[in-house]
Amino acid sequence: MSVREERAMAGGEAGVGVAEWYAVRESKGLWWEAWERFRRDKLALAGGAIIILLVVLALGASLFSQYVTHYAPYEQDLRSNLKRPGFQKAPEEPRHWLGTDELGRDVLTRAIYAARISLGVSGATVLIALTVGTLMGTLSGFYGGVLDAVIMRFVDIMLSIPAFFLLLFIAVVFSPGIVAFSFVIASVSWMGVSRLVRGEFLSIKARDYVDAARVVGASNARIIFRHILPNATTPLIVAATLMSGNVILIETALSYLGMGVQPPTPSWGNMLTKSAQYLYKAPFLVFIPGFFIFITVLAINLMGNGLRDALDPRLKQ
Amino acid sequence: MGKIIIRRLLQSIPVFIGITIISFALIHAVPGGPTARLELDADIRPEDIARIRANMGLDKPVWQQYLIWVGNLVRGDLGISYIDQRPVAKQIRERLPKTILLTGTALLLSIGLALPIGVIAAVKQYSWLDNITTLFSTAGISLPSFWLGLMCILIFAVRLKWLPSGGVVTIGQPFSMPDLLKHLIMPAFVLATISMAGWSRYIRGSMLEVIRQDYVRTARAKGLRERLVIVRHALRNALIPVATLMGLSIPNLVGGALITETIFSWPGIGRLAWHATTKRDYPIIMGVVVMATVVVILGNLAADIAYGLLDPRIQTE
Repeated sequence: MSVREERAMAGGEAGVGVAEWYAVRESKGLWWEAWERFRRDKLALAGGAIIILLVVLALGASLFSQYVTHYAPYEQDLRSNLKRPGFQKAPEEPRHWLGTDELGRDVLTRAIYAARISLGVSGATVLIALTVGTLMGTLSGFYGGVLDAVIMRFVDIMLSIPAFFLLLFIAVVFSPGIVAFSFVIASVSWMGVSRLVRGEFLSIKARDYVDAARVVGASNARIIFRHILPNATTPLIVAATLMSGNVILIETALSYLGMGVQPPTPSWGNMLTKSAQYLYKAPFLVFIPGFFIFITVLAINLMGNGLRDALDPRLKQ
Repeated sequence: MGKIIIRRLLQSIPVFIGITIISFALIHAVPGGPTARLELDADIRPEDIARIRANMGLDKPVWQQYLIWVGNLVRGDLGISYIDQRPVAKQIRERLPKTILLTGTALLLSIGLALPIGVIAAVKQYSWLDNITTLFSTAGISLPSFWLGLMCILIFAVRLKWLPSGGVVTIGQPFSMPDLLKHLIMPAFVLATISMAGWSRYIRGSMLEVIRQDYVRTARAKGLRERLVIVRHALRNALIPVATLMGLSIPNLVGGALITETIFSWPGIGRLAWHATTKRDYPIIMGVVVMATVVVILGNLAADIAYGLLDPRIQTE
């Protein structure tokens, strides 16, 4: 009996006709289907749009600042506390769309530059944490045995140290620059990734197609890269997205305490440090940078939720 | 039960000693020290700096300093702060209850609110209530805590003038409970909001898993009122992983409020440790490490006992 006839019979038993069987079985591929599911989640779409907008702004920050005319360390004490409307005066006076801070620097320009810093640190940290975590998880999950035990013990120890304090300690003591800062934050973020990757390895290692590949003579490297890791990408994407939101929160918190990005380099966190004093006179100085943080992280989280539901619909019961 | 407790406590002693050794080594290995600023001052003679260091006991080798410290510790003496010459134990005794008051209230608030929210969201999945709560909890975990704190101060202390903006009590007035509550409510609310967002998602997820179990269906089939099914059968089991998480977040009780304490000028342990770290005040740092380690060890022990009581499947060894 041909395959088609077999399927027709099976379909008949299930109450599905031949044409429908093939239609049901026809799939447009993982990514396209995921994108269609993602599209349906309006909030996730909004989050994604906001992130794209921010990235574009951040990348074009210097162009943006030329258009707005000022860059960060610019002092004009005359106009400490403006708000949105431009000056009533003639157009030769610069307009501060979001006001100026206590040193007269334009808040909007600083905020966009701060976006560059925060998004940059976040991206770098996630990349580093992903790399290290995947490496550790692969070694641990694929080879098992003593290596697995050692690595997992190390992960447990790292997890039991409260991350924020470790970060604070390192930041106070070593005052890292921005690049080193990313490494530092990544050093407390890779553990989750490694557990995830290890879990994927453990569950897939036992499957039949891996055995089949081995029988055919596939090398270890081929099995790892062609068979196992691709299956881990979807949860990794979700984890990476959500992690980047958290990293932004961490970086801004440390900068707020004065232990992260140092002024005059703007970060949303250190824009808030001095502004608390001006809570009475210029509350917008407190509201705006924090609002940027909130919207960015919210957009990331919404997008991450949407990605999670889109990439693995089993999770959304 | 008593034997188990004693055995666990004895097992914790080497952990405790190890942690003190590592901490001591770390803080002394770090460059700079309590006299670092003095050394930059040209007006101070090197002999005086040496004398100050000798008074602090810093001229001896590190291992000797450690043994001296341990000797004092065993006698109950935690040393004297370098900065303000006050006994370490006294400062910790003053500040610890205030932190616990803050974080404890926040914990009660957050779990107390997260439980009903999470349970209802799970029970009425996909309803508008569920969607709203999910949105709010996603927003909640995207909020930077320092921003939320500053915004609350702006709204409630500056604009509405309902609540004081910081401190524990109003200076100069005799102690009164309403006064304390007015000072407590904002920082506790800020802490609680963010953790509540996290807890409610977790509780919802846990409840969702439990509701699909067979025993819940059995309970319904037996004809029990839905309310009883949810509370007596589903919730109790859903709470088990929540209890584990609560145990894991015990260290947060002691140190998790650093940022909030800074914003609201709350005289707690977090701020004490933070200032001590910046100024390299070794006795206080070690004192806080000792206290935190004890709290965490005892807390984990209590959590394990509670866990064993909650889940009859677990047998304490």
